Formats: sequence, C-alpha cells, structure tokens
Amino acid sequence: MIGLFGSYLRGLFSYFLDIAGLLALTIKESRHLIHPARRTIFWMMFKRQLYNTGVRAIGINTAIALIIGSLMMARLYAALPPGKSMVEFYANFFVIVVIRELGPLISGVILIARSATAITAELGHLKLYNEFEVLKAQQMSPVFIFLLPVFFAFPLSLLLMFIFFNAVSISSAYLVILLDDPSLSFTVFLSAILAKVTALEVVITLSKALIGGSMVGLISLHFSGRVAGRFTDISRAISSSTTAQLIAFFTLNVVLSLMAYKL
Amino acid sequence: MSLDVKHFYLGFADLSLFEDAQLSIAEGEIVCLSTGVLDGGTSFLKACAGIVPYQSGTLLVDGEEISHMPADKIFRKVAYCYESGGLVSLFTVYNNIALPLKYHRNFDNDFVAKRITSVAELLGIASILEYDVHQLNDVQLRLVNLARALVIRPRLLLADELQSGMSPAMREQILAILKDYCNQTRASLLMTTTAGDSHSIADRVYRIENKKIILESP
Repeated sequence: MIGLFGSYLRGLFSYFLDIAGLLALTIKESRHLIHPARRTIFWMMFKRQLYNTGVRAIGINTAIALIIGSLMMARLYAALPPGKSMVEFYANFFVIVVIRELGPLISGVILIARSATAITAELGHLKLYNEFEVLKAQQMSPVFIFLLPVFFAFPLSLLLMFIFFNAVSISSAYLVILLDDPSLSFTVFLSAILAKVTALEVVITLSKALIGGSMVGLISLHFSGRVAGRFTDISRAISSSTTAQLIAFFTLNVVLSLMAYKL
Repeated sequence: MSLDVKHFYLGFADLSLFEDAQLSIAEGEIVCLSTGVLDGGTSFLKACAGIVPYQSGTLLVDGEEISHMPADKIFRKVAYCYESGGLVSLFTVYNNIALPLKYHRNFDNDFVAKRITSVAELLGIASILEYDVHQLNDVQLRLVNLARALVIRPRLLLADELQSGMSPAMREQILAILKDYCNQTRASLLMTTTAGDSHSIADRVYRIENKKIILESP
C-alpha cells in the first residue's frame, strides 16, 4: 500500500517536473524567433494552429453560446420581476455565471475536445514515425517548429473563444428577451452587463485563457512526447492527456474564481 | 571535404555495431559502403551526420569533431539522405525540401523556389513537388530526400541505400548526377549500397564485417 502510494507520488512528481521542463524548453526555443527566416516558419505554423484551434471552433462555440444565451439566460430574465434593480441583479448574475464561469469552462472543454486531442494525435504520430528525428537530422529544432506554435496558439485561441462565446451569449440572450420585452434597448442591456465587468473580471478571464491555454497545450505536448513504438501509445496518450487537461483546467478555473470572489 | 573516422565504437543498449572501425574519405572522393542486413550501415551514416551519438572514437569532418560542431555548421557541410521515410508527413514535398533551407538561411522565397525547381527538374521529380508525402512511392521518397540534400549544396553527402528499387536506367542517371555534383563542388559522397546496387562511380568500396569497415575494392 505504502509502495503503491509512493509510486503514485513519484509518478505525479515526475509529471510536474516534465511539464516544468517542457515549459522551460519552449521558452528557451523562443530565442529562434529573433531569426527572421525562422520567424516566417513559426508564423506559418502559428497561423495554421490558430485557424484550426480558434477559427474552426466557431461553429460549435456559437451553437453552445446560443443555447446558453437564448434559452438559459433569456428565460432567467423572463422569470425576474420587473424593475431597474432586477436588471442590475440580472447583469450581475450574467457576469458571474456566463462571463466568469460558463464561458471559460465551455470554451476550455471545446479546446480540449476539438484541438488538444488532435494535437496529441498529430504529434504522437510524428513521434511514432520518427519524424522529429527527421527535423533533427536537418539541424532544425522540433520544439520550435511543432511545439512553440501550439504553446502560443492555444492561449490566444482560448481568449478569442471566450470573447466570442460572451458576445454570442449576450446577443442571443438580448434577442430572445426582446420577444418578451420589446422596450429593452440593446445599449441599456449591454451597459448593464458591462458595468458589472470589473478590472478583476478582465484579469481573471485573461489568466484563465493564458494560463489555461498554455497548460492544455503543454499537457498535450507532454503526453504526445511519451508515445513510443506502438500505435496504441497514441490512443493512450490522447486518453491520458484529455483526462489530465480536464482536471487541470477545471482546477485552474475553480482556484482563480475562488481568488476572485475572496478578493 | 574530408571525413576521417578512427577507433569508432557504436552500439545501442546490448547491441554493439562497430568496434574500433576506421574509414577515411578525401575531398571530392566517392566511397560506397556495401551493407548487409542489420549490420549498422544506416547507423554509421547517421553518426557521420551527427544524428546518432557514438560511444567513443573520433569522427572528423574537415578535421573538426562532428559532435562539437554547431548545428548551423553541420547543416551547411553535411547532408544525410534517408533510405526510407525522412520526410515530415504534415508538409508537402516542396515544403519538406524548402523548410531546412528557409530555417537555416535567410533566402527569399523566389530564390528558394528557383533552387528547388532546378534540382527537382534535374532529378525528374518536378511534377511531384506539390504532392503530400503519403502519395510517394519508396523511390520517389529517396529522390526527394536527395533533392533536399542537394539544394543545401553540402560538402559531404551521405546517401543511405539510395539506389534501392530504381530501374537500371534511372540508377545510372542518378549516379551520373551525383558524380557531376562531386566533380563540380569537390564534395565527398559516402553511399551505402546493397545487393544489386551499382558501384560504378565509386573511387573505393568498403564493406562492414565483424563490426569493422573493410576495404573491398580500390
């Protein structure tokens, strides 16, 4: 029992050490960005990653934001008694539920389900077929070419997904509320919500996107790097990384939100 | 460019491939290394390219130890052509050839395109430049590997079983291109060969025997 616990702890310690090492390596390899030609290669890979991760997630992001905004949030507005203070209460509720919690969580889950699994599979395939060695044989850094674009594109994609999710939720909630209350102007509705968005909200949202996105990216890179010689290693890597990413992302969200509430 | 290998030991875990092996190639020389099955020919070439670390001995490229050479310098001097694979499956053939050139040199796109097109036309692979890697057969893979090496204009070219699967006519054409390249640039060529391959352009032929490199024919 003690042995089992010790082995689990050792595994956990080695996992965190690996992630820290990967982070250090990724930051170190950023030095290649000074080289103009290498910057062009990075930009090409970064744009591809941003398109696949952020832009192509717009469909699913819109669908979920529409459901949340038009059904949940619009219905909640209809259930409130009329009055100016109730609009303020609603705006406060909207910010806490959608902007602070649901937006980041759902966007993070979309990122993990759509893109992080794809990256783990892609990089696992490259590892399985020795394609990282091919780059090393050309004296090129695989970390710079494949890992750095993921490391930078994931947080940025997540931030854009947050913003997009919030925009669609607010717009769809307003459009459905308009059916019940045609006198409500969009400016009043938007101003009531924006008035509740404090600098702290912005900082927390930015932290969730930047730290969360980087973390999801690093975990994908870590597990794809563990692919050895079998094809089943890829499926195992996807499964393990998805579990680890969900745990890490939810934990980060909870910790940051608790910090925000306490502050 | 010269290659000088002395007291060379190479192995993986319990498997020892080379023990006290020696080989010297002078500037502009073409040398073939006749290999059998799993006797370490590929690993030897990879060690010469600085891809695989060796246990002990010296491996000098132009008098400089390969393990101490900076990556950019190795890239400019030594090119290795894979026998199989050797390309990144995410990129097209063109990008596989262009990427190393763009990564190490600050050439503009037009210059890179011109250089790639001229080498691709020479090797007869211009029509497959926009293909994905999975669309290529084994011979085309080896030719793309060779094209990627030639656009760099290396001083030491290491080709692993390049002739495998080629028709006799294609083989002679490719060997003539390599001979011309070595004559014009004074580059050296070390090429592993297998049963049925031609040694017609070689100045010397070696073989691997009992973990050593033995001169087969001058």
